[in-house]
Amino acid sequence: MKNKEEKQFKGMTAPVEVSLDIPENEIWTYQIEGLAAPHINKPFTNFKIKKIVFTVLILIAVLLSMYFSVRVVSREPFEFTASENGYEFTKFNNTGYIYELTVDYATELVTKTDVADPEKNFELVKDETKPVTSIAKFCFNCDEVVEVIRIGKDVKEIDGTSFYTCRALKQIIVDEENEYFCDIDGVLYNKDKTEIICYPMNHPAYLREKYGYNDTIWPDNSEFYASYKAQVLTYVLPETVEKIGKLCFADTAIAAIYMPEGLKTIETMAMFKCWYLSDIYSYESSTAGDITDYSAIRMLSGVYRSLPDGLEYIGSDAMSYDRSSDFLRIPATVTYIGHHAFWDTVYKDGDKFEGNEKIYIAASEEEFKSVETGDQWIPTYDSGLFNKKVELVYNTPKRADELAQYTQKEDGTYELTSFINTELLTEVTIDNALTVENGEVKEDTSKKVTSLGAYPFKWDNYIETVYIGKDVEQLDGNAFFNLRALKKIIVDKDNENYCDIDGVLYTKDMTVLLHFPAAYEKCDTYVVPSTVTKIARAAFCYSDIKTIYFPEGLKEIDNLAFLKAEKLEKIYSYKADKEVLVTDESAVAQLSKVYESLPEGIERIGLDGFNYASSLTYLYIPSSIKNLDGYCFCYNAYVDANGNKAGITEVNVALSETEFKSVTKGDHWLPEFRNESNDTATINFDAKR
Amino acid sequence: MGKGLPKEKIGAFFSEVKTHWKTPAEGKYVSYKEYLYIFLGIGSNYTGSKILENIGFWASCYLFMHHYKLPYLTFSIIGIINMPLNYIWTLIGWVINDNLGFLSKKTERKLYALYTSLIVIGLVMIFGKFDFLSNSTNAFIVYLNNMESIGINAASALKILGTHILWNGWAGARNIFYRKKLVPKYGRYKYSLYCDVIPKCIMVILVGWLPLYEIPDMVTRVWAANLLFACFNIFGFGNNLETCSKSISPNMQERLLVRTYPVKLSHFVHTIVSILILVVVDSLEYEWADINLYRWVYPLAFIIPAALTMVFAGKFQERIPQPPLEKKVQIKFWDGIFGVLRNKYLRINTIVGLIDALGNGMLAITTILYLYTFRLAGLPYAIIINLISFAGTPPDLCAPFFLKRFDYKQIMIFYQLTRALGNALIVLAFMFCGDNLMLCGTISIIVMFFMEMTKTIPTTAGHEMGTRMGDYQMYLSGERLESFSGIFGWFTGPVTSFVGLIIPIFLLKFGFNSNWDVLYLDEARVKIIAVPLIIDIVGYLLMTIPYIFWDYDNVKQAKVMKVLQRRAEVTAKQAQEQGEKISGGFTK
Repeated sequence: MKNKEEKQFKGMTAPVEVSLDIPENEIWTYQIEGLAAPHINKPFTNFKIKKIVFTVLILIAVLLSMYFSVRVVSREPFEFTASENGYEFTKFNNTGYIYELTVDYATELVTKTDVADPEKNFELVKDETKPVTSIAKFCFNCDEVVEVIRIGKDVKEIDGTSFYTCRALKQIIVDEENEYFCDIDGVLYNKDKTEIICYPMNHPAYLREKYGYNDTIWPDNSEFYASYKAQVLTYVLPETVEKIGKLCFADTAIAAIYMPEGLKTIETMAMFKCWYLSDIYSYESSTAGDITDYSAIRMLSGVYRSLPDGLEYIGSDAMSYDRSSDFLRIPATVTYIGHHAFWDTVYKDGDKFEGNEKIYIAASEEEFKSVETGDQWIPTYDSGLFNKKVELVYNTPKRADELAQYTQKEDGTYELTSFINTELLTEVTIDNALTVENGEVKEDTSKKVTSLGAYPFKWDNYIETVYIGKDVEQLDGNAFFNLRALKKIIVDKDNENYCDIDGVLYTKDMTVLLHFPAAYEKCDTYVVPSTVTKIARAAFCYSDIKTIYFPEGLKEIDNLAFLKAEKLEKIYSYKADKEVLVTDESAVAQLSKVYESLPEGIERIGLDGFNYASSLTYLYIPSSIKNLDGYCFCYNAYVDANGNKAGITEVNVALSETEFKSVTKGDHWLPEFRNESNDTATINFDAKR
Repeated sequence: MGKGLPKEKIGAFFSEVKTHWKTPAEGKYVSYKEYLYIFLGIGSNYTGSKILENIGFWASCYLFMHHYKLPYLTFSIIGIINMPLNYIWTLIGWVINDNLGFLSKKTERKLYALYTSLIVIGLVMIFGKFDFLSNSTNAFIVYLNNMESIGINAASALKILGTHILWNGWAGARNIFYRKKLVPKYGRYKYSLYCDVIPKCIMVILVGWLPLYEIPDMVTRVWAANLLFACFNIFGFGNNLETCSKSISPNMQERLLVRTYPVKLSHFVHTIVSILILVVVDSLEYEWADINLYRWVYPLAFIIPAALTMVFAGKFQERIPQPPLEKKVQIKFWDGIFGVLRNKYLRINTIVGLIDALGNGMLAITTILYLYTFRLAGLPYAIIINLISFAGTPPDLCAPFFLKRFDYKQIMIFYQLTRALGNALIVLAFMFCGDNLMLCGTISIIVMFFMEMTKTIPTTAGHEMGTRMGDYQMYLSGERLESFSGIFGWFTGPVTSFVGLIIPIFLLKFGFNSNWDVLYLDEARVKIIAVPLIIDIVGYLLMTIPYIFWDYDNVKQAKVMKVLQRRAEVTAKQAQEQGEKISGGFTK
């Protein structure tokens, strides 16, 4: 039995049995039938000729291999092909040092061998007999260096994909004589501005330079982000635009977009991976013309949150991965939605939904059935093992013009959460809810406003005066952050929680200075009342204050309190013998024991406390200090145009070096010059005033 | 009969295992206990070597992607700097390798002198001061200095070249020394594990812990990283035990069984470790971008299998019928070169490889399908990936059955035709129903499932054909000449490089570059998939032609093995008669 089993099993693996009779003296020469004879330790016939032939062939092969390997990594910087009307610019391969480029004639890079500096040792030579008339698809694809591209007058064809993933590209500037294209402040349009073709990926960098921002500001820096978002990350499409081109805004940092109702087409991937795009607005009409930055918003009328009525075509992946948007309304005019149009615009953070938890649709469910839709156009989110589609909410009307948004509180009163100054108001009263009816601002007395949310005004350049009613019981200094035109805050005398002195906001007991308006008219000198123990968060942020007097009772200067107070030159302190409530320059003469320093008794300077207050040159930190939070003086030093160190070059500290070690210090608290050697201001310990 | 047969077979199998647990059956060479050691040893070795694939001086390594932040072009330029001299070192290496380190005294002395000089020259070039080159206006130096934006200038190019010279001096000297010392004891495939494992473990730790990625100047960072990884690469830890297992038995059927069962199953060890690594990486703060991946995760994941590898490495051995080392055929340079050129089957294989290069530079279609067409993630992604990858497992386990019934020529022609057909169906799906993602994707996935099913047996056949080619080479030349067979790569290099440029040029034209998001663009994606696939289909059809000339059947292989065995017997006997010491041979 066992033998049978073994036999069966072995059957699968039975080797081929052969037998060969190989004499001992033939082991190295024995030839198997059908195979070549062994050749072991024997000379080859025609050995020399074979060697020569082999050597020549192998040398050719090696040289060709090396040539092709070099070809893989070396390309001509400029590749053009002749076409019927001129030349097509087919591929640009940056050498790594071409930051600006004009596409007008066929160009050649000529190296200057007598110059060592790679930034300067080349020259772009143009052949004016070869005008460039088109730029090919993906011509500049993935260039990471070029910042400005100028389009010549003869260029007639540009594809939206031509500039895809040019991560450094800030501007595309078109020759004014070009009959087919134009640009608005570095953004590419067709000539009649019916199509926006390319919003350069790094256009925000250009806007940062334009508006004086040194660095990118991220949404988690909420105080700064509001103004940054308005100035740098907001784009208003001109009223003429009917189409947003393929990949137009793809991978850009744009956060808010305003679209005209004439817009009919949003092309494939037009707003793909706009991670920060949170606000999608549409408008009915505009007087802004070619103004496309935030200042145009005031010239728009009939603004509402939605894709624009009149929109017909939404291409595939048009808005996929736009995770910051939390409200998306599809108008009833839409007839086509491409596959994955809103893919991954919703996700779950723990149990909480982020992004488009619902998609709002203007049409009824029945009407919407006639819309042609691609696969997976509805965003999905993780739900257990499989993904689940978000809910579609039909019959969603266009939101009425909203001057302000309010949220009802538990006690039945309202909180002002958002104020969009569509009516360009210069005075705002926070008492009853405000609405706009037929272009007229009205108070809704049925809705009593008792509190203000964080940053309700976001970014506003018009409001000069804010009146706070008697019932307002909850607000903080942040409520008025970034109101650059604000001159005064007037509080109703009957308000039990807040008061003002000459337009500056305080808590009723006068212990906390809540907000000093950014455009306060008497800002050369300000005397902080002797009752004040705390300067609130962002209280003097962006203000034009030049000289300030702190009382010795002041213990805390909160986060961002003097951030970007760029004109602040002098910090004095005083010891009050009697209560000081006069705050203008006239009070200075009445002060005794004035000294140039932060006040004795100060314990904490918050995060970004004096950051960017770059006119300060003298800083004395008294011995009472306990906390110097991160970045509190970080950018208060700099290297001037002559290369000299300026700003706060020395920090005088009353404490000894040993005592100072016990002070809690945040990252980068010390002024930094941001030069090549990363110098910081020097600290003088045991310093005397 | 039908009912009783499986039970009978299972019983016979267990009885067979029990009987031959320690002693192989007649006509076989491997006991079942050795099967177990093969499973454990290769499982560990394969896992360790796979872990090392995550650590390397290439752009796709997370260490370089997230920490060193070097442009991908830098790696290509370094390759080009090292390329010319590399041809010379390779030629010398072939002679050493295929003589297993046993050279004439005179040649050995010359090579040691050469390698010592290289080490000195390399060190001088690495640590010499060449800063003066930055101001030179010599055209070539200016050209090199212009590459500073990718981390290379003239001075650093010298250091990079110096590193290459040092590496080759050091590696060359080690190669002779350790082969001579260790091959007699551990065999030609396993010896390097014994001399490399400890330094490799140390280097794996150093790569993560040496903070060279913090060097602010990119030029310095590049050459320093190049030097670090040169030191890392001196010590190998390849999948040596699996290579050894390919020659585990002169019995062709037996080595096929070994390859099919213990070797294949041992790869699951790596699968389990990979899953564990995924879980650990998920818990890291910056996941794949976390430096702790290189400080803790990979070192631990490597050192443990490396240690286990060494435990089991000695428990099984290669069994190539070969003369003792003392009677080994000495391979001179030209013998080696002309020896491999005479091997018809290597020539066929080379032509196939040459045609296969038509697909070089193609993107992985599965990636495009799963991620860019279907946007798969989470469970559905895992299900489809595993379903398709599992498709090949059942046929794989039946490989001996199929390989016994069909000859290799048939199997390989069938393989090429199924690839061509499968790819043609995918292209048609994309061209004619590309708008309907669900339909197009479903067709593609079904096709891929069947392609995977029909892939594994030809893959096994391909491995076996490789081993047989080595046996045949040994019959022809007295040695396997595995290194010298690299000369075919030199001849085909220009063609493969040129052909390999074709698809990337197309992809570039269609918009593919460093930003893969272009694959979300329908028009680009369809072209990026379809055009390379069409070129590939042509390649698969052409590849059937060379296989028509493949006539190396089981009978020929059996005869070759007989010749090899006879040579081994006779030379061993002669050595004994001459009173010579016998080592490293296998004469059964």
